[in-house]
Amino acid sequence: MSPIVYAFPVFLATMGIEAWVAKRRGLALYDVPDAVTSLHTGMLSQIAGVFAKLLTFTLYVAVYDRFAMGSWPTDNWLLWALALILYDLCYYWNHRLNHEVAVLWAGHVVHHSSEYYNLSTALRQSSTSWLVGWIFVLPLAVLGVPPVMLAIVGLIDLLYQYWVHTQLVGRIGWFEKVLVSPSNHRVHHGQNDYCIDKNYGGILIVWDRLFGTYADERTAEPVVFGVRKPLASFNPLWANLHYWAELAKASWQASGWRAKLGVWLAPPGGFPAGAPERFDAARFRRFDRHTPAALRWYVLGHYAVINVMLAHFLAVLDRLGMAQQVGYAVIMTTMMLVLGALLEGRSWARPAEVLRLLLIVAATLLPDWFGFAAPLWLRAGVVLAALACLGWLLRGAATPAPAE
Amino acid sequence: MNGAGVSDLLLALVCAGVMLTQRAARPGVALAAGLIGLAAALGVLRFSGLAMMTGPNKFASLLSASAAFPLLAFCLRYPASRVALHFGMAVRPVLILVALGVGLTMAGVAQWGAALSLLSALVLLMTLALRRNAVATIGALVLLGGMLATLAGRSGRLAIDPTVALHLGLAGGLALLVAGTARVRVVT
Repeated sequence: MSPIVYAFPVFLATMGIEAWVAKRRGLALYDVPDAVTSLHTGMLSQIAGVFAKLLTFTLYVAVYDRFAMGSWPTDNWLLWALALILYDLCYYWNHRLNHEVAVLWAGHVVHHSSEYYNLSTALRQSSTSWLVGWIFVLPLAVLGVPPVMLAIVGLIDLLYQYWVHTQLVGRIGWFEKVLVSPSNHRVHHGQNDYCIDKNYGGILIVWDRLFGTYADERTAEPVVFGVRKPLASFNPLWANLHYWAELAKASWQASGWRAKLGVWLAPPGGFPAGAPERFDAARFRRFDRHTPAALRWYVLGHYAVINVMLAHFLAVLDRLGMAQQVGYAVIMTTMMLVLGALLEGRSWARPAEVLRLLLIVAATLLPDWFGFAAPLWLRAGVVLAALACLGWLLRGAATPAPAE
Repeated sequence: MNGAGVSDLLLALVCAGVMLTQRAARPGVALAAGLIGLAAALGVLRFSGLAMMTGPNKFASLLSASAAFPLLAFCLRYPASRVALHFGMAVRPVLILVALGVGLTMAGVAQWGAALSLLSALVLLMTLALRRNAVATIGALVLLGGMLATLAGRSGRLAIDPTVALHLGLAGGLALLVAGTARVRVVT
């Protein structure tokens, strides 16, 4: 089972604490639709990862088996430390090119699409960045870093980056001269002029200092989070695909094969003809669909249900056939799409949600749920909950604002 | 060091020369030479008795075949392109070509690298012949000859060691290609 599953409760608990502390301090750090979108995107990334890692990890193992100059012993902690440092260096370059090459940005933009900055943003992970990202760790395979070592240092690197996605921690003195900190990572997520293409480090910020991409957080110029061309959607699938679609369209419209290919290899936004547009913080407005409070909590509650489903999916993965895996993944993804549409106030969202709830009721009649033989009390509970949701929804008490 | 090592050393030196002389004016060509040179340098170590360098040498050769030769061909065919003139742009197609090359090779399309290298050499030959650039055309022919000699050598139809033939073909071909195209005026 993916070790991330064990981290879920920690993630949820720390996000709860962060939101509570922020509220006590009177800080608007969280927006439920934004946070739910981040969480949905994180879940989608885990689902995609199941299929992607099968490919990318297999490729790493294949390169390691065929081209490694030897094999590092796994009982030497110094080698573990070295592997982590080298992995972090590979991560730096992968991350940097994710920001500098359009086709890589297409995979990474989702992580930057939140206009808030909190622990949920850390979970707003890509479902498509694996397409090219895997090549950046190949030097480690050739150097002889065993696959198990890669998997563990990769996980350490990923988990480290969770805690830096917060606004509750200020400057930490000497620490941030060496390591990635909330302060210097806030700069990375900013769209202010001084924040663009800065602070790519995963654990060590020294790479940025070394390669000239470091920028300090400026107290006089508060960081405005997000991207210059906003996502403006709570749809986790669109968050992953919108820039791919944009590139495909631009490539289609370009004339000549070099221009068509060039669209994918250009910097994000293409080749600017003149000076880059200056950022005006005063003109910035966060995406807000004015989702009614009750509907926000409704969606948050259903997110929790999908979270349990995801944990189950990852736990029983090995016992499911490919068709069942894909089926389970499609069900969870569809649920997230409908919930996202509810938050956005899409016209089709309420009928789709009604249908989803009816299908949930119907699913309680199935003999087992992907290998889980649910007890009668649970089935009855699910039916009651779904019917209650249905009744609440049909009362129209939580009518969202119409989509623009 | 055996014959393959000596010829790899020659290739590595030629690549180093190309990198040093072209890095400012033609960074795309310099990057391609750098990738080929990396494989050659690792080959020198490998053929000098360092068996542990066999894997890295083969991997770097795969990168060269998959990315360096197509990049070289592109940069010489389109000398005024961004890829040819900016290092930061030249890296970009390399990433995609490496992903494709390693992915396909590991998936069992073993001849991908060789096919792409041959195609690149053919593109170079055609381009330079049409431009009536004698020195560079000979360079492309030598490059192509080295690649074909390797293929022929593998089937046992060559007197010379196919690896040596490849290294010499690449070294001679690269030197002539770069020398022959050095004075081409780039119109941006």
